[in-house]
Amino acid sequence: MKPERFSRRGLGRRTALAIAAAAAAPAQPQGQQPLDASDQGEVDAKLAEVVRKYGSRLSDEQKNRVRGVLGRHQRMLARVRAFDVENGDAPATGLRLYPSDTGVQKKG
Amino acid sequence: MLSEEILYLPIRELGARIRKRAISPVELAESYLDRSRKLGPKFNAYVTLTEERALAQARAAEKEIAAGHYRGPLHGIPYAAKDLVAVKGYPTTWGAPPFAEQRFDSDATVIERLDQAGAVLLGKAAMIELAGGLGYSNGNASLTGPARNPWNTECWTCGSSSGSGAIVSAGLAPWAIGSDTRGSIICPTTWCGISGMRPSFGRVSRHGAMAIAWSMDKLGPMARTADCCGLALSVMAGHDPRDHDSLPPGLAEFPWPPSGPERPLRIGRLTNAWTRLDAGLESAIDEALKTLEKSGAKVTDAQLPDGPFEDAAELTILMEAASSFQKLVHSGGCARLVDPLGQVNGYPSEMMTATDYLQVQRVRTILQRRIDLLFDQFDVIAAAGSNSKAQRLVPAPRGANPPQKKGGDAAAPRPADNSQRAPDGISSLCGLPALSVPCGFSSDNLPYGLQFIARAANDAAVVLAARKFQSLTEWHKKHPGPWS
Repeated sequence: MKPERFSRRGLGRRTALAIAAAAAAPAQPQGQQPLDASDQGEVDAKLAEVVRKYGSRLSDEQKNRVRGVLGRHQRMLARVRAFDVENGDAPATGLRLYPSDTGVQKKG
Repeated sequence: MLSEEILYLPIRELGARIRKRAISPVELAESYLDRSRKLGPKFNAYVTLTEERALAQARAAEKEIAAGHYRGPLHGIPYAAKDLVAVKGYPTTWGAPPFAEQRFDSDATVIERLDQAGAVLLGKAAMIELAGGLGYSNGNASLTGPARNPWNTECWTCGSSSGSGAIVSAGLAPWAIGSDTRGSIICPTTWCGISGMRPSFGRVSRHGAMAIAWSMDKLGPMARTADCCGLALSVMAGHDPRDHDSLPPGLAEFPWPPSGPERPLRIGRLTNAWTRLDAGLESAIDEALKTLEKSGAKVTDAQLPDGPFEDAAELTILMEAASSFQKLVHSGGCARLVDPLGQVNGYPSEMMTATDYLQVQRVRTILQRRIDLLFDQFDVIAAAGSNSKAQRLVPAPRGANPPQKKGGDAAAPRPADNSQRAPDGISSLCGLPALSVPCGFSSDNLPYGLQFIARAANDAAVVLAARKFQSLTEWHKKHPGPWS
């Protein structure tokens, strides 16, 4: 899809509209703490980007839904980002199975 | 037509009768097709019946067996395939309105393997749209409307292999192919009161099957018994160079049953899985494990290791699905999906970064090592297959598009969320095999399930544990119906 035309003022306006539209949505899922300022800022920025790229095809209700989804994503991301990894911890980009190291196949 | 008693027989028994020529494969296929035509719509179980193909395969099987050429345990045995598996000449809808007319000009590898074994494809099973790949909020999220649970048609089957669960439970086929990225075989297996298996990652080729998350997608059997799952998997499994993540030759195959004596099982009862269980379900799991203990198994408490398993699993799926369904999202075609969440979910997923993806995968490596250590102490770990019995259908949510093909005005909330400590978070993320079997019923006659999980690539352990349990109990012999 071709992105909508972009300007800083336009982005600000769209962001404000999107956030205003989203204000009707539940601020937090029940029983959950509000996001901290940094995470909330990231959610707002991502919402602005979604609205910039795809806003013309989304209703206000759908923008609210996107905002809720972004908040949920942010909580998951925060927990995973907080997990301590060292420089040598490589990604599982090709999922590796361990049983060949343990000889478990011989038991099967 | 053959009796219901025969149509509910397990694969091994059907195969023995076919081999002895006590049952005709043609009569068997016709009987299942007849039952599927009559009862399938009641459960929204099928998208398409492949009658012509089924009868041609059944006739070929009958002829070969009569000539003394018996191919093996699935020869002449009917089955259904989840509608994300490509079958040449028939629609492969992925359960989603944007793909309602989609066709492929070749068969998926798993279909080729089953054809070579002489199995008989009855039809394409209904499913949650895109197998939930762009998210869904309830059971209404399907081209064909919500699948209805044969134990109580006011309840959902769970998803995303919803039609596969209904088909096996209602005796419309002896077994069906399901797919599981995170819980999509185990949950419907449990809610429908059948036996279903998610094999290790890489065991069964996904070539020709819809991709959601390449590093987590698995195909597996849903059937009457653990032994049926073993037999079906022995044909489905094997190396395929066309699937980038296929296990190598020598490791991918699954010979069943395994040779050698059975050893006493070491079972770890998970004490920190599921933050909430139905009271009746907890008692059923206790009883099930006591039954195994009395038969000589060693059952001790086990704990899932700490770590953001569920978050890592879900984020992996969200980010890989944003890529696998990129065309649908960018084109705006996702607006045609039934579920209001699926209509928009690709947009926020696209906002996550490559660095986030890599962080999740780095965490995943560590979590894989942690869970693997648990299997130094246990052959299998055990927990409830789901934290509840089947849930009742409720009105479709606001913003949902109507199903295109058949009537469907009801839904049920999707059961999973990340606060439940669901074992499928860790087991799916780490590619571990799992198998769920019926272990009791609620006071309102809905099935409960017990799942076994084993070390990656030790698929035999979960089948052996579940088979042992079924040799001691009768839960798997109960079936629903009759239906008015």
